[in-house]
Amino acid sequence: MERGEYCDRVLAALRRLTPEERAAVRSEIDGHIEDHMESLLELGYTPELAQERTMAAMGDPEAVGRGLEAQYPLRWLLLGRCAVVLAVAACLQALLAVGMLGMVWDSVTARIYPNEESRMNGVAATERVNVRVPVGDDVLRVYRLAVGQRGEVPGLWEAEVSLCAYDHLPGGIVSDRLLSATQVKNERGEASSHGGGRGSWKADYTRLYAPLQPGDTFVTLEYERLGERVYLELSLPGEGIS
Amino acid sequence: MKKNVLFSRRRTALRRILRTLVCLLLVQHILGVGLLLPRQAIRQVEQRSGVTGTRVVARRWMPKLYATHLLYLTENEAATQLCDTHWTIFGWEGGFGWTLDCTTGEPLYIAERSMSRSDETLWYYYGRVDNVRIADISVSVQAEEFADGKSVSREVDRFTAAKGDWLTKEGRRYFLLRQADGTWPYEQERRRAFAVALDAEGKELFRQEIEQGTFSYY
Repeated sequence: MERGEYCDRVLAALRRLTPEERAAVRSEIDGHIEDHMESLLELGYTPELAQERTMAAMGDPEAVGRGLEAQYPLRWLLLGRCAVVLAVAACLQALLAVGMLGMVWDSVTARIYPNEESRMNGVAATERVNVRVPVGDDVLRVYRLAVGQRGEVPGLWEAEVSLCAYDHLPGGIVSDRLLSATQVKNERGEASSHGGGRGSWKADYTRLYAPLQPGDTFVTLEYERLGERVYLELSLPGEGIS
Repeated sequence: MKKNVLFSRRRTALRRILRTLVCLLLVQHILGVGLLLPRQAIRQVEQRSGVTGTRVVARRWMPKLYATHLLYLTENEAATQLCDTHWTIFGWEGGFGWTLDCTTGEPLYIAERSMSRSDETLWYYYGRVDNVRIADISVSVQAEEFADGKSVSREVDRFTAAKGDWLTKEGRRYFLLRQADGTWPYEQERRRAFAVALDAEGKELFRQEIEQGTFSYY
């Protein structure tokens, strides 16, 4: 029996293989036959005898085929193909949703170096800070404090507290209620006004303003929701206002 | 001669499954799409509301807006939330949700959630009861109009929680009611809803206006 005939008879017994699997099995059997024949040739066998002895050693091709068939159960083929279909579907969905990557970048910058523009026109003092408070699954971060005037109300001095929020996991979803429920109060307990911001699913930014009077040295950051409470004193930069 | 590695079908399938799981994890976490389970979409809505560690109290299939529309009532010790999801080309997609803060010591927490698409509108009332004297809840829907500078209200619908509307989770009592007919034909009048708390004899304990909730238009 020739090598090719042997492989054909083995593969004929394998009914449920894919073309790739058939090619792999053929290559494997070919390799075994080749190795066996090489060994016999090295021992001095003639090529015809080496082939004859190799074919005999390989065994009955139909029996070999039946034995191999059992190594290829249908359920694994179906599972593998379902996995491929799912992966392709996920990639297509990812292509359609690629615009979300901008939000991921937001999440990264909020963690590393948030730097939204200040709305202060006349700044007396400003300071970058790094206060991070865990709130549920999110992180509330104060990254800049400034004392100055926005110019909206003449003569009004304010503290500007720049905040951002992001999920504790990189790329995770942040609560859109976190910054909206956060307040900044001055020493007299007067609450802040929100000075605008921007947000996405992955990061939120805002600025809070609290009115100041001469001699004020700190403002307090407060958050309370769903039984969770945050209270922080933030020292104003510079010497405040005089 | 170079030996070819003959992988078993099982090993090939497992490698594909592993690659798919990694792909799905990245797509789901980073892009927020490709969600395979409705609970994952609900979890997204909860994350946007800042609610964590919830358990499902009830799940309702409501095919009036979408064939695959599902409502989930979820809770933890501090919050009760009603969220929705439906199947899209991006997988399960979260809709909207409203969170009831249940840490304020009230006997009754209740919110209204309405969803509208085309000509269909659904109205749901849900919440938590923390007072054992409250045996039942009714919702009174009123139409308010202003005449001669005065507010005049009249009841246009009233419905009471049925047995199946009451749910228990972790020793706490919840309810989820749906108004049977969500149409609002009173164009010139403002809709107001009141929760009426009843004791075991059906006597009114108190009533409060339902001021919390959200309206979603799909």
